[in-house]
Amino acid sequence: MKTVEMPKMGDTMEEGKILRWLKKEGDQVAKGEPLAEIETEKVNIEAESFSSGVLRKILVPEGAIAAVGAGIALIGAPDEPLVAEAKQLSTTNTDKPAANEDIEAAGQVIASPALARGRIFISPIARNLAKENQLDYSNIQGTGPNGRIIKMDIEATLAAQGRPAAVFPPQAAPAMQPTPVVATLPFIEQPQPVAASTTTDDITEIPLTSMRRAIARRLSQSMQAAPHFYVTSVIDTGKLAALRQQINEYAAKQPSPVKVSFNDLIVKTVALALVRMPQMNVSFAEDKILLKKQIHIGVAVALEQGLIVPVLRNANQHSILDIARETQRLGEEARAGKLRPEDVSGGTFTVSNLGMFDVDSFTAVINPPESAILAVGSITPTPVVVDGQVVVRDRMKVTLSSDHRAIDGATAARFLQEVKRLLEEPFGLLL
Amino acid sequence: MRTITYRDALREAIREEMWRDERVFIMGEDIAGYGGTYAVTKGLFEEFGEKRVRDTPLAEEVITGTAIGAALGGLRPILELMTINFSLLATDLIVNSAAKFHYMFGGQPEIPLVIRMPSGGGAQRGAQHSQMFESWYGHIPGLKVVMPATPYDAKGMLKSAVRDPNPVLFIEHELLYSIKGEVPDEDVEYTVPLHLGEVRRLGRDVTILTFSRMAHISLQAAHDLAKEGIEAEVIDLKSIRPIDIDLLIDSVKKTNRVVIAEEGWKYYGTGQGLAALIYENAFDYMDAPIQHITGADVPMPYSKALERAALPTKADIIKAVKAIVPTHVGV
Repeated sequence: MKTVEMPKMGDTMEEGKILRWLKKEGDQVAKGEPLAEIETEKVNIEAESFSSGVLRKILVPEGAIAAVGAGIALIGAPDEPLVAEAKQLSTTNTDKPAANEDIEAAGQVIASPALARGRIFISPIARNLAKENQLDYSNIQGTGPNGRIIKMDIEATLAAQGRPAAVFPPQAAPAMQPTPVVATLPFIEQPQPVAASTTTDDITEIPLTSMRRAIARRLSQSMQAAPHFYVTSVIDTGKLAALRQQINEYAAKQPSPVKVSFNDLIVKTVALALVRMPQMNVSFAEDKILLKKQIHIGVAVALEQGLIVPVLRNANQHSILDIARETQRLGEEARAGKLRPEDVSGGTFTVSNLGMFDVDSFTAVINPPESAILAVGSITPTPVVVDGQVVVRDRMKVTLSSDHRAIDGATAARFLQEVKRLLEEPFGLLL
Repeated sequence: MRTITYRDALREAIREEMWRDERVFIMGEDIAGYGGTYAVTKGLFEEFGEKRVRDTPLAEEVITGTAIGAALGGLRPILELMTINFSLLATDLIVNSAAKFHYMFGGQPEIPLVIRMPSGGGAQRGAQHSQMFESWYGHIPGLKVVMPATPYDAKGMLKSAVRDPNPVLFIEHELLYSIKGEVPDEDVEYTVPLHLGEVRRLGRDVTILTFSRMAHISLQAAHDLAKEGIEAEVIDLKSIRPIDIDLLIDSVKKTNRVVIAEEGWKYYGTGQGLAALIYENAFDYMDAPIQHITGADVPMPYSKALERAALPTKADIIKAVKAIVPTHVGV
């Protein structure tokens, strides 16, 4: 059985529409004979058959669109069984329903926009994990070398869907042991210029660290794929500061004292706002939107060598003091380079705060696969008009970046309104 | 426990085995009056006399044949070849005699022979004297090939090798003789099995498979990686033949990623054999292609700078690990 593929007619062609089948199922077809009339962006053209036999199955009906390379029909001997060779079928924008019931029922059709990507590279264990969890990985963007989908990507997708990964292999992770069992390491390696900077007269070349590479890759991907838009709001922080002072007086007397920062209060605020507006707690997944049931807030931490975003899990369920403690722990471990993968994965929304650097306001790049990030500026004494009088109030500018594929302007604005309301009447954070 | 050198640990093993079993004797080039090229046998001539501590001519084919004959005749020789590079002259004896007799003569004779050989580069000994040949001998059924990395293993495994009924090639890295490590007190009798590897450090992100001197470099790399949040499991194979395959496959199933770090050459060597075994036995568990760190594919340069460049380093291992361990980085 041969699969007839949507031909590529011209360099820019990515998909074609079947205008008319010139043969019907059961017809004899000779090599070189016209099979179907196809409409591309530029021209209409007749597609010829590359093999002889019987047109056994039309996979893409008239009026439907298929990606270049997608199977559109099957040609074979009259008595050959059909199922095995039905290739991935990619139909979009059908004028008529594209369903081909026999084939679909046989479980042969994997509607896959990924076809345009060509072969999907996925590591063996990632593929097994996807299979165990019945996860279609054709839409997952791999983060491994060469864009390979790796185990972590599958786990992240499952986590994003609120599904814990079915364990593969069934094996408990052993407790980490403090380093070597080996006696001593008397071998002192001579220090070597490894991946050193090279300097010419005008330019010093600094090789990328893997962290820098990851930042570059993920954020360019975010900027390119996600249409960002920004909403800014000015927040009066008078009551927030008063509440913070009260909380800190209380927290200092606790058995394990802790200092609550403005950022901790903002994290709590954002988490509560997300509970009320779950449509902000989403990921855009090409053909669907994934609504995350859990609220995990990432907090961007600046390191000397770059940037890392530890994640506060279920931030909405924790008290402000617990959030402060956990943030402190994550920050310390981030600086010590001791974060575990689970500390930095699975975030659903990020808060990035540059307030301590005397920044009025800024816009942040969304941290994929999340759909929004809140950029927090400094708290600044600002003259404002109250009841006709100019008075000085503490104000803070926050800017929300949202992915327009998943979130619309009004939704983002309402979310920000909710954040503003909670921060200006902060007792709500305690209730 | 005491802290002693690898060299002293070897000498203790020989001494204890010679006291335990009077059939055990040592022979080799400059091992008696001179005390051995690396001073491993120093003092043994004075202690045991010329009958059991025998200097030989510089003729590896002859002395290896002699040792095999002695083993066939019921003695338990420990033959020291000055370096593994010189064992090439005795390859026929090792491969076609020592490794084969037990098999070819219906299991009747045993060849309880140990051949100790220094190996490896890093001491500016030039192209002919800086080589790793464990993979050549690891290829041969009928041989056991071990490469202990620590004083503890050096002593325990040498004692096991002497007691083993058939030939054991005991390969010591030249740069390990002066390292120090904990070894049980002299009155504590212990041996270390010849066929088992050991997890030197537990980790979850990647398995570094290594042996001999590179085990130390790998541990240093793992130590540095831990500072960046990458937990590498370091497996010291200790035995090249047989390979403790269960140990390494279990580790690979856990970490899903492997870096093989060895000093020898890349092509057709130990690491490539290990990689094939891993793909055969754990393909479904792999999350990334195996990375393979080796010495440069050149005869070892004599120049100090070039020799250093030809040997695998900690930085090489770290780079290989980072190439396959995802970095968990966000905004």
